[in-house]
Amino acid sequence: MASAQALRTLARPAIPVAPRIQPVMRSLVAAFSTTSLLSAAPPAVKSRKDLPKKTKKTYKKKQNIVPVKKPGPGERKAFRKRIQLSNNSALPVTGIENLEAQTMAKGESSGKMFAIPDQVVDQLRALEAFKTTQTWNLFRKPHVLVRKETVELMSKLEASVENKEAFKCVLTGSRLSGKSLTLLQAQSHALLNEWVVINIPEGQDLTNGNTEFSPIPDTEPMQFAQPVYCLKLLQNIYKANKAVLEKTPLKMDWSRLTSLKQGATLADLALSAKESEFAWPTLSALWTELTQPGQPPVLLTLDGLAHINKVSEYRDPSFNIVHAHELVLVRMFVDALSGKTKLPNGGAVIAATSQNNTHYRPSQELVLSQLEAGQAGREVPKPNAYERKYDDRVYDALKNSTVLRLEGVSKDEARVLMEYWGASGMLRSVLDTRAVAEKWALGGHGIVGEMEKASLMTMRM
Amino acid sequence: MASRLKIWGACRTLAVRPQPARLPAQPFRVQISPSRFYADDATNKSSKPPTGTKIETSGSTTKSESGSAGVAQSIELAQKASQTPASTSQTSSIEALDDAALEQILYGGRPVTSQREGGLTEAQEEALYREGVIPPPEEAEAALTKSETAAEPRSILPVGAELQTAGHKFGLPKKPYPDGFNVKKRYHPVLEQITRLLMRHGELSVAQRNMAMVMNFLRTAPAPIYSPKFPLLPGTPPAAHLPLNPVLYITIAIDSVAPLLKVRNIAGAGGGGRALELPVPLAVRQRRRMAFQWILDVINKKPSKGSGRTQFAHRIAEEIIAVVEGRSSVWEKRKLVHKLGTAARANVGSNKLKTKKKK
Repeated sequence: MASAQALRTLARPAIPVAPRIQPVMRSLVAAFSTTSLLSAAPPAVKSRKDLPKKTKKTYKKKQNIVPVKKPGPGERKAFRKRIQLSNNSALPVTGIENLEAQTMAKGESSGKMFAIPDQVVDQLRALEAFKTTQTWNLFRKPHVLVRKETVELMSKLEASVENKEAFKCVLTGSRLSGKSLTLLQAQSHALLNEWVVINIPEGQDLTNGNTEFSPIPDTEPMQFAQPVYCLKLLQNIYKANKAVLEKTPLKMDWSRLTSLKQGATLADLALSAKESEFAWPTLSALWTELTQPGQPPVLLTLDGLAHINKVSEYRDPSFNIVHAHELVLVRMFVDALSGKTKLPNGGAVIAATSQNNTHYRPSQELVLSQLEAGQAGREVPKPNAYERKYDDRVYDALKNSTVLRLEGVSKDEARVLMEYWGASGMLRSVLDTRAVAEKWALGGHGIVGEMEKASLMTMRM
Repeated sequence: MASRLKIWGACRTLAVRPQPARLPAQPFRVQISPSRFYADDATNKSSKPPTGTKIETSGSTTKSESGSAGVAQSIELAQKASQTPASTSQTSSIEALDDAALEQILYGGRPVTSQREGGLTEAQEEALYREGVIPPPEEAEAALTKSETAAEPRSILPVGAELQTAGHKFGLPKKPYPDGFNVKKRYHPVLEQITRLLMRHGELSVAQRNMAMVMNFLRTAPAPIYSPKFPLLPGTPPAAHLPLNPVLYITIAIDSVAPLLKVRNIAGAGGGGRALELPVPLAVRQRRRMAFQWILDVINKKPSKGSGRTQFAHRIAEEIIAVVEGRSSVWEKRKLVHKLGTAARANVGSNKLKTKKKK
């Protein structure tokens, strides 16, 4: 033994070796083999929950599950959102004139039905002016009733072109009273008069956080563009206003944005955005072009005003809330509505409130009621001293507009409308003064949508 | 056509065959009066032969009732049938009647689908909703005026003139009010019944909304294409008339596919512990109920094509269109029931029933 110790001392230096860090063998084994894990004991039973559960045996006969072809992605939504504008079963109504450029601005066409020309129907469809909740699908062709308020609005539009000044208007009124439809009439009037129409079909699409957004560099406070939405909007604008845009040359130089040839038109500009990154700069360029003197008049419309006057669902990079007016597209609209952006060729900015899909915006309510009282010469309501949610930006955005209130139609207009329904074969009862008065009263004194509900969407036929 | 032919075949064996030997002992017949079988008995249409849809049921019951005085229909039918030379003698069976002759007897020589330009008259529609058959226009008119005159004294009668007119323009109705007394019904009778059938969880207004959607869907759908294999109610107007009259559309669909009878199983009466299968004719409302339940069964198994609350209504409307176009599986059910009823027709006047009743 002693000799062995001596040998070791010979072989190694006498200096004591620093203790090495030895790899832990157990962990190494565990890394390369699962055997120990598998052979591990079952987990310890600590409570009643850990006990193995009895699986219930079912004696129920399994139903025969027939393989059904499931609808593809987006198919159901497309079915829900589809817009049907004609019904071949309905009788064609004869003796109704087509809308012409000046028809709706004339006083004598008040209280008459008019057919929307097919070309305008296509354009309106491109603008997404028709809504699923409207009853276009019952009739052979889209027709509209020109009511008193329509004529009033259209003559204001006409005046705006003469004055070279924007007509800024908010349509309001009770639910189903025809605000969206009046918006549609304004759009068809503008299309017939070769204006450029830009329509934002639902205000909520912009602020409910369902479309992509991206910050715009070098803005303080930070602003946001919505590239995908803007691209779609640009394409819709092009589709609806193709004829006008194609004959309007550019006035400014956009070479830093796109490579357009000399003598390019607005249509070329609108088409130059192929990808969503360039959508907002292009849209903004198009808007700048349209606000230059010498271009065609513009109609800018939006439905669902309350949704763009709130704090949006978006957040900035530091997770602060974003006011809807910081979204550039909304801001474009709001600037036009407040008069900050001038329309030197005339034109109009019209926003419609919605009563179904809305929420309480104190500032909006206040300013609209004040404007309405001011127009009617009544006493202007004062702000509520205890209300804490007033929003000055909203107030400033709306304070320069006029308010047009829509309520029920008169009995004569109701009669014309019901005669049209009858002629289309949708209303089978005898149409006399009594029937008209009945439906008029059932429809909340001539609220068109309610009258429709009472006479077309009912079991009583 | 095949199903209907078989049922006519049943009529041949049932309706006119005289059975004098079996007349005396028929307790079952005495117990069930004809008024229990016919919901539309009140209309007293005994003077004319009952039109197509009801003939089978009347046939199956009149077999045992040919002796009783109240059943004028079968006698009338027998008389009419005897006018045709083929069936004069009792020995030469009524099987000799060909389909054309039968159609003459049953439908009065009218084509199954009317080609008239104007569609149905108001009186005809009224008769359809009330009775489930479409009579010829003149007859419907006569029935309507008759029922109106009958209903008139019932409606509003000032009793003591001075007392009644005080403060009332038209006087007060006479008390006690008769059953189902209403000055005006709010909804169409067919729609009312169907709406309540498609109601779920007691939500009537939802059902009404669904019904309104069904009708709007029918109004926007293209006109149906009738199938010659599945004839609808005789006298059905041309297809182009249906979309704009959704109530008629629904009624035609339901009344065409409705079974005329059901087979009641009487426990233990079949002998040897078996149930006795007894065909029983159905009244109009019962028929409609049955047909719509079948349609609902089909609808509940069908997958939706989209999403949202309009889907249920869409499926109903599509099934109604399918029925009218002869694509629906409901026709098969009707065929089955009728086949069963025809097979069990011998049980109608069964003696076994007597013993069963006595127990």
